[in-house]
Amino acid sequence: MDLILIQTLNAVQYGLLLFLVASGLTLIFGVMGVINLAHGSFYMMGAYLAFTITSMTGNLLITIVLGTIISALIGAVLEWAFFSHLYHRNHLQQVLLTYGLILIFEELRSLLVGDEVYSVKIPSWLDFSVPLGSVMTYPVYRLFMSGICLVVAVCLYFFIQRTLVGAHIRAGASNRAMVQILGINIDRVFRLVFSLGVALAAFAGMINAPSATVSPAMGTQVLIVSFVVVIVGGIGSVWGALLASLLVAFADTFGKVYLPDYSGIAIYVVMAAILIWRPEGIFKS
Amino acid sequence: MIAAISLTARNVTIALFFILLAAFPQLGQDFYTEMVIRVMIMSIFAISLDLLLGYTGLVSFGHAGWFGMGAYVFALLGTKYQLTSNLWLTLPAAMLVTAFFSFLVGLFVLRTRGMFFIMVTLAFAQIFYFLFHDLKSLGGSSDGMNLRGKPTTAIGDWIPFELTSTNTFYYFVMLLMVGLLLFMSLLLRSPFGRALQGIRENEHRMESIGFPVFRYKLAAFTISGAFAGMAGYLFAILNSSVNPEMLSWHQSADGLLMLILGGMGQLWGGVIGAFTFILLQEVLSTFTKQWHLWMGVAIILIVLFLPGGMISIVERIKNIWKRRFT
Amino acid sequence: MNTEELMQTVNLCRSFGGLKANDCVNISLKRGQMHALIGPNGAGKSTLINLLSGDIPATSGQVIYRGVDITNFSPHERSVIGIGRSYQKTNIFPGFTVRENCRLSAQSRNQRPLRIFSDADNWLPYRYEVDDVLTRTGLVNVADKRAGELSHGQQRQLELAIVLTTRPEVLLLDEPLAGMGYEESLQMIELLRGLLVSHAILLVEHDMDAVFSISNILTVMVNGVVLMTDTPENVRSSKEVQEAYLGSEQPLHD
Repeated sequence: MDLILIQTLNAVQYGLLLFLVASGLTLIFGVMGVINLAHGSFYMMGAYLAFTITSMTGNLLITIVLGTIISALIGAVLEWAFFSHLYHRNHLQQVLLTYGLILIFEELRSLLVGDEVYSVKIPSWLDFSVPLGSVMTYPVYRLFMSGICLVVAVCLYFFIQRTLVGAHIRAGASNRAMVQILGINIDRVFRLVFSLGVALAAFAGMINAPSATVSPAMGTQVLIVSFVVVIVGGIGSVWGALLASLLVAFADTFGKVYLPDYSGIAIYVVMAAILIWRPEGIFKS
Repeated sequence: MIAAISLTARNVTIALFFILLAAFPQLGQDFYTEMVIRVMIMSIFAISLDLLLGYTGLVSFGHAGWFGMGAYVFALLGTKYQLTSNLWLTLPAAMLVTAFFSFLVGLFVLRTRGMFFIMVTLAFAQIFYFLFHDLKSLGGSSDGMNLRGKPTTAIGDWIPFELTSTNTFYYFVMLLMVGLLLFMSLLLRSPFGRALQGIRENEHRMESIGFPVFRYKLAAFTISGAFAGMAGYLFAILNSSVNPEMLSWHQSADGLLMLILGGMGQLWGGVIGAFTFILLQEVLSTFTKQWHLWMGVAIILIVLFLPGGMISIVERIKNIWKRRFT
Repeated sequence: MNTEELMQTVNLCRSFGGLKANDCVNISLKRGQMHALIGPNGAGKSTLINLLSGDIPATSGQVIYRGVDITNFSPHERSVIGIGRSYQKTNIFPGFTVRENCRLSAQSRNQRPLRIFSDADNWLPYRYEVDDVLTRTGLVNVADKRAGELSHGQQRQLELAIVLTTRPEVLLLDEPLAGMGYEESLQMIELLRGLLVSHAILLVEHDMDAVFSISNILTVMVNGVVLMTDTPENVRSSKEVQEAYLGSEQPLHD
């Protein structure tokens, strides 16, 4: 019973983390119509940023704040310099261009910080465990992570649903031309959405860094899983991304425990099942 | 007049190409011969993808799944379970198995469109990737498997040729590549091929005038999967090993890149693309350790400035020529 | 005159969310009849044509063709049994030649997918069909031009040529004359008149002169509902129809 509780907590934590990454991806898809293979690289970038900045400052909170700001800025620059030219291109070109970008990012990372696997220290005030039931314990940092991710998710919801800028984003997603006629600067909206997406992915990478390792392969891993989340949740749907992230996280976590030989394909089986029921994802936008 | 010259030029180039290709093994060492075999196998892979991408207009990001599957069929039949190593059984088996699974996957994925289709094809290839990576019964290991040997070619007591010789294998692969090119050129002028191109051009109208578009797409998906399986099978023999990375999305991306480089929807696009791609890789990696970076830059430049591939250069030259002489 | 009923709808409805684009539409298409569908913008005419051709599914109600319920038939299934549709927004194959556009359409009747050794360009039955339709629609001179390079009027002719090559019995024509010059319009009208004997034609058109001169029967739609179905004279003199049009920008006649 305790084991199930632990795995449930793990699944929730993974799901919320995945949500941060996938929500950025689905927003960029939904609002700008761009498929971005390099999204996983932003997650990786966050993790490596966490490593570099904590080595300099030693303080995780400062790292996260600083790192998020830097990531958002990088996102804005990338959007202006590169991604804004992709919006009118066909899917194949977008796929290949962003694939080329991954190659460049991976090599840059290799040049700047090397190919080793790093670790980031959990801040001492979070580095303990709480008892769970009579025998097990659970690391507090993971609970902290889940909490923070939940807070960010709620903030994201309010931002998109309740603010004026959020309304612009939602409008831009459904009718770009109309938004321009209404005088809203669509370029700025797109730049904002893109930076938001990058910041969310990087934030996820940063906050997860102390809990997992910082490794070169992490970008690719999270990217493909994020794709599955977007497929299951429906393109452009943030709600769908949340539900799908949790679903995928549970499938993956419990898959690893109960079917270790098939754990790799657990999430794809879920995806295939959902596709039979809803060929365009749970919430098609 | 100009048309006649350009037709003759084209035919002469093609003829020269085949003569060179046939003569090549006699000239060089095994190392270079194997390299050209690799290019030919990748041409087969690219051509099979072109049937989907260039002719039907379907951007599949999971084509490597069939490539790797064909390879693993041989590995499982010949090495892991040692049922047979006979070429005349294992090659058709590889193609039938990949055709079967691409048919099944096609039933699923062809109901989706656009970005969704791209992502879903990627996801299904990942399923197969993990199956071959994790399941012991399928050779499960991240290092792959080493193969017991090349396929035998015995039919009863008669042994027509030995694939253990690099040159013989070279000519065998060349025969298959030429055969595929012939098949494609027939297919493309056939009603079926025309229907596929119609689907690429305007799928909605094709449906509207009475073509069962889904069935055509499924057929294209299945056929292209089978030929990708054939390419994978040959690749396994070339390397005497199989590896789950053959099913990775990097391999799928490579296929797409080859077609962008060579030119999509053109009979020779796959061959030109495979050749250029491998050449580019070799050149870049010789010059710099960070060749991935330059590969990324090259990809971006090519997609931005030469989306029609190398063949579009040929077209442009032809047009300039025409203007000069008319 | 042969008044065989080829196609009809029974209480056909289509809703988009809360909006009833088509509400209980009953319409009947008979062989030898030119049936025009008119109404102000937003009346639901395009929706009805889409429902008839299968491009969108019905929310409720039925579409019957020669006594068979085809409500769940896909567009290609409907084309195969003899329903042809042309589009308001030109829906051709711009990258192909005019000839190839028509040849594809001819191929749809005789698809021969397994004949991989066949040269589709040179198969005589296709060539015969193509030459025939090119002559009838006046496109012979531009047969080898890329469809995307044609003038707008020529593209509309091609739009019609494509659907004619599928040899349908029922023609659903969505604004076939839109964007055509005077000469071309006359040619088109003559062509349609010639087809009338053996076909049932449903025509959505805004050119009221053409509508009143060639149709046998008119259906007026307003806000998704059929207001009336009657002869052109009765429709023209109907008070209800006048009001419906006065409520919008479009005059009923010049």
